[in-house]
Amino acid sequence: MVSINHYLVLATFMFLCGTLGVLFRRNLLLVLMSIELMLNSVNLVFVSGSRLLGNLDGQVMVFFIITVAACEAGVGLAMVIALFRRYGTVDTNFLRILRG
Amino acid sequence: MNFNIPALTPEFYLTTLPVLSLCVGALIAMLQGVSRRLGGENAVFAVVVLSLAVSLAAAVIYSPAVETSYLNGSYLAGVLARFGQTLILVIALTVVLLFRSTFLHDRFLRGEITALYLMIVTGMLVTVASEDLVTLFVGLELSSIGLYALVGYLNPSRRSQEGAIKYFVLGSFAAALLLFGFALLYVATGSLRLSEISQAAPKLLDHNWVRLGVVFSLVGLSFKLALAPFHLWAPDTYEAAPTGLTALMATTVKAMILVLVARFFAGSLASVYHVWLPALMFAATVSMILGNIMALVQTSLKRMLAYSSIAHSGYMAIAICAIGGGSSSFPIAAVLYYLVGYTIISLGAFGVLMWLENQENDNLILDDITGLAKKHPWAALAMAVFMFSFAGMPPTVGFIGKFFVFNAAITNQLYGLVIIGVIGSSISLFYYLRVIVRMYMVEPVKVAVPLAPVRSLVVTGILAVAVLANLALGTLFPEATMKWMVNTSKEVAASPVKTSATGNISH
Repeated sequence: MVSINHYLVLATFMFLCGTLGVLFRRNLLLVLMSIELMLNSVNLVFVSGSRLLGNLDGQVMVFFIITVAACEAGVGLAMVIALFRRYGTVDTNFLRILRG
Repeated sequence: MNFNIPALTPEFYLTTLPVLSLCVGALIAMLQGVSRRLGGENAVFAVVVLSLAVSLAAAVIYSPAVETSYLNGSYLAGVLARFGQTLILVIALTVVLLFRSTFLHDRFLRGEITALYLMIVTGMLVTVASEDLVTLFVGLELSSIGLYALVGYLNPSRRSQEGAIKYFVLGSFAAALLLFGFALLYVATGSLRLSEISQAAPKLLDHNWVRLGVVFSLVGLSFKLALAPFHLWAPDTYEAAPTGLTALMATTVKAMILVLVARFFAGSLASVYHVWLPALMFAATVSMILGNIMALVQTSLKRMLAYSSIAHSGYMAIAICAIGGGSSSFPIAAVLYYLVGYTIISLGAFGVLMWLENQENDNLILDDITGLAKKHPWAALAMAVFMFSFAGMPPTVGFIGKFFVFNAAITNQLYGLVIIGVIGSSISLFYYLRVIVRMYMVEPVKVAVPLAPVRSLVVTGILAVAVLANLALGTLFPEATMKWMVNTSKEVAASPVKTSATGNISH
């Protein structure tokens, strides 16, 4: 029997993968993908919670999260393109003017 | 589950007029962005100022006596929401006026930029008025995404691009953490509404998912508030952004998040305060120590003010800690008072910097303002007043603000935090007073790009108002203002939300 805890543990695992990706990846595209992974794990929690509780609020929240994630990806990819045009790479190691 | 489709009453339109006016303004501004004929600098300025002014007037004039929620509990109209909206709108209007009078006016007053700007403000107004995690999240992200874009796009340079990317990555990361917290709270309590979460929370004290949810939400909000150890984006972004935007970020974002924290942690999650209190105390301690120590070694004034803003977040967090599980409204009122004071001081200090800057040098260092008192005595005097208030010297609003915050903390036996706060303030004296010493007591040094500010009536007016408000709140009306703040924060402490006829949920 698959219980709510299984979903929560899976979502937490996905969330951790995303967190580690944001913290340790140096490629901006991979960082963006890791953030998406984190948001999708949140969606999983909301959907399974909604199913468990028989309450549609969670599903509504998921729609909003998907929309906002798309907006974020739009702005983020614009930044990736701007970075690529300037440095010819999307490696975040090139971002080192601001220090201290 | 069936929703009653709410009938939209005139009352509803009156309460949401601040938000609606900004939405209309943003749409018009977007049209101005694509039309050369409509999008002249003056036309754009007129639209942005008009929509902000209508919005501000609506927020000030119409305020329901009882806290009422609309649209199935998504939009909350009450005294605290009104307070947050008014404060944010005043700041936004001031920043537009400052932009108009500085070298960035032709970059800022373009349709696509002001459209983004108005949407950022809309997002903030929605956030402070939200009673539902959905609206809260959408408003928060509306303001954040606009800010990510504006930081990099308003005055593109290598520096601002880097600042924007750092802000974007850490901001979205914080949003994901916050959402994960919300999701766990939803699973545990079965509701996305703050009032229902607060009813369900006490029963779930020892539920591990609830604890995790509370901690994740706190971490997400600490990121946005730039509390250490989640402050890493703040100095870089504050330094990289055009100074007007830095002023906006330092003040409105803090206002928005603090109203939210007061409502969410002190209101809804007050019954599980033993989960978030230690974490917040830790964050406050680290912010006060680290912010003040790092500010000591900065030469860039914007970066110094960024670290000082981290320290000030720490002071405000002390008062949030003082709320704890109690139902006293004094600590919340202390936070709001501190927030008003901090807003006045920051707008003033950043306003002086904006006035002095030019296209070649938009990141002033200490050498640039050395000997300023000889060339621009009034600007130096204003800056000196703001530095004194940042440091918390009497008779300024900074002193009274710190007094109330520490008072609230002592009443609630948080002696450790107060001691650290006092130590932090005394460290901060050094770098604030250094600015004054450099302006008044040191001969000017030769710099690469000499400052040549143009006299502007608007900037002079704003700075004069900021100085006078600062001194007036510090000497004449601290008590009256505090009474007003206590009234404002009463509804959080009491917090029975009345659901209006225009929307209730039946399961």
